[in-house]
Amino acid sequence: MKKNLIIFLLVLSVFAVSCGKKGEATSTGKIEPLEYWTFFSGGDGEFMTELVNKHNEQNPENPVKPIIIDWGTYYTKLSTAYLGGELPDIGTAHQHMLSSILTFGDLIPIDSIEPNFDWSQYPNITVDNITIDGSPLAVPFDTHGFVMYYNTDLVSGTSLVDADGNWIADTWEQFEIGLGEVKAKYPDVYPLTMNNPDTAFQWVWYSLYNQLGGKKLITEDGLLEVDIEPAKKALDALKSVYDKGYSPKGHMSSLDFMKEGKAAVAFEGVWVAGALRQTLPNVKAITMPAFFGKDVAWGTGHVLIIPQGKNIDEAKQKRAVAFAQWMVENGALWANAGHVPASSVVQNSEEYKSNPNSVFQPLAVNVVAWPKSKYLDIAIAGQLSPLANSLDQYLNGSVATVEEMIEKANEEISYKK
Amino acid sequence: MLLLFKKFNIKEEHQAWLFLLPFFVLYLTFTLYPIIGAFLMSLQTGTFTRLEFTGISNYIRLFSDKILLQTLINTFLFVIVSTIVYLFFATIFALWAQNPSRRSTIVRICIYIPSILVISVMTNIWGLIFRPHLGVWSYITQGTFLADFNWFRDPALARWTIVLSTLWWSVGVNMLIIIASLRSIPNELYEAASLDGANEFKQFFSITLPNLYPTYRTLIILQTLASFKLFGQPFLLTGGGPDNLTRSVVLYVYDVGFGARNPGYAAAISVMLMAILIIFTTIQIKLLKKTN
Repeated sequence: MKKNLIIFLLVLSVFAVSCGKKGEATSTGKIEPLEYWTFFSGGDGEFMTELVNKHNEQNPENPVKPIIIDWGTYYTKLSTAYLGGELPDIGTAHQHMLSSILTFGDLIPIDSIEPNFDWSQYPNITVDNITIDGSPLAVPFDTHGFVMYYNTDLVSGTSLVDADGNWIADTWEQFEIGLGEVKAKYPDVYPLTMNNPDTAFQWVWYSLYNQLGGKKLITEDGLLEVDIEPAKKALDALKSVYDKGYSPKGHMSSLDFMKEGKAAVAFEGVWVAGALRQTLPNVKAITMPAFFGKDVAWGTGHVLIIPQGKNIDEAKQKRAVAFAQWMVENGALWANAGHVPASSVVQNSEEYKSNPNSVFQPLAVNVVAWPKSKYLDIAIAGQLSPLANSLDQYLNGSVATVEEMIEKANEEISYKK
Repeated sequence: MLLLFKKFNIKEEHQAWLFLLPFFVLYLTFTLYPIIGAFLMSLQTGTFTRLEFTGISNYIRLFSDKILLQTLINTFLFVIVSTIVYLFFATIFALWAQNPSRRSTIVRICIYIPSILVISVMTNIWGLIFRPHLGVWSYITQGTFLADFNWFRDPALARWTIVLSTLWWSVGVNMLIIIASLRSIPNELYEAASLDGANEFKQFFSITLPNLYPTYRTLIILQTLASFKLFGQPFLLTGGGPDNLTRSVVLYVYDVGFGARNPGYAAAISVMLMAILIIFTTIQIKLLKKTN
């Protein structure tokens, strides 16, 4: 009987310990690590692990424990974490997702934790993009967006590049002529590849739309509203490439098309730079050419957020900001993953300038961010946003005009919101 | 346990409740409580952390949602087509592999193995086979018009891709149940029929099929319920596209709840689906009993 009682008490104590509140001080006096949620895996994940390990080595007084969550379900888990009150001390997020995260719960403004936070280390546009209603809600970590890659072997001898392999086709008209030359030279090769239907395709369209001077995208009610002329011109330019057979339709395999030498040019994210260079030594990467005059392209950034839970631990919040600041200062290592470090100081460092991915640096200031709206994001990987869905319908002819396309997207937004 | 009951002098009729207690605790926590929670949530609007009571407004919205109507049509089509197709092929495979020979064993194993895969593995396999331009299908059919088929985006093909992949995945279980049922049919019936001059075709329709009927009844109900809950295949293979043609009701619930972060409306759709399932299953059971 006594033995049974002991076993019962042991089980009870284990249960009680496991139900204990997160964040309670440990009896051994060891500092409890900050819980840091990230969605980086694969190549990005390796660099992130390296960075966090380096931080923990250099800052034993502020240990951080990374918790990797699959990117496809990251924001869903974050929303349910808000619901359950079991929030991380610090988390990674995309800058364009900040408005959506505010629909889950609150984020702590960085300057309320650290009033002397050095915002001057960032370009103005970077700070603007993380500021909502006058409050900076995140620590900017990097800028990343859509750029262009080309296979120097496949484009050589065409009007797309000069004799040294440098890109020279600066207008969309020249671009299409050059793509035609590639097609004539290599009939089995697609001159251009881009993932579509995909949320990424809306970013390609959005880049061209902005190059054409397009401004509007979303109303205060969360409905779409575009400047018709640039919207149509950008879409027709992309449609023309498909109609001429220069780009494969309906796939998500741009990276593989390039890797296998089955495509000559790709509109892709900076994040594939490492993977492409590894398998395709003759690839060149440049920022998106100003095909329609204005030198801009879609981009966003990884940011570090501090979610507002029910329990406020000011000491941990300060530690979280200190960790974020360390990460920003050591962003040159992160550039290996293709991303542009958010801090201008790091961007100007010799370490970053010697990195081949520093060719993407202009993106940090030429970036056009996604509007701050909860209706245009990509909370669930693999699911098309209403805009991406309607762009695809225009391309495949299901809708005839841009006006009709926008009407259809708004119909979908209205049903769901 | 019985010793404990004796020690604490627990009456026999109360002992039964104690045995049932673990089930009820789990049922109340993981089934009844979420159902009640979903119903209460369906009467509210706002985001997960900021919900406000707004009565039946979410239910009124159901009637004007064209995408919901499309997802209902998609789901019903899938339920009807998949049930017929899966039972048809399960019967064919069961007849083919019912004998206890070595060849039949190999066939049974080959058909059953996909059923043990988790859905993400299954969809990955089909994703690789039908991957546009670079998949196995494109490789095998290269040079022909078949290579241009876009199994995930073509409005005429996307729904069949979901049916085909699910058929490959789930036909094995149905086949095994039908084989078990086939083996329970007394051999004497076939012997008597052949003595009376009935050929195999006649035997199948007069003996096999009527004897399989109780099994079909169970399988139809199980398959219908499973098909109504279609989620993983369109979520992982087609994303619900093209133009919502493969979006199921459950996928729409997920999309509205977590994508558009409108949990109240998502809960209202879930409650509606539950009502449809209850009505559908009740009618089905009554009709099947009647036909029996």
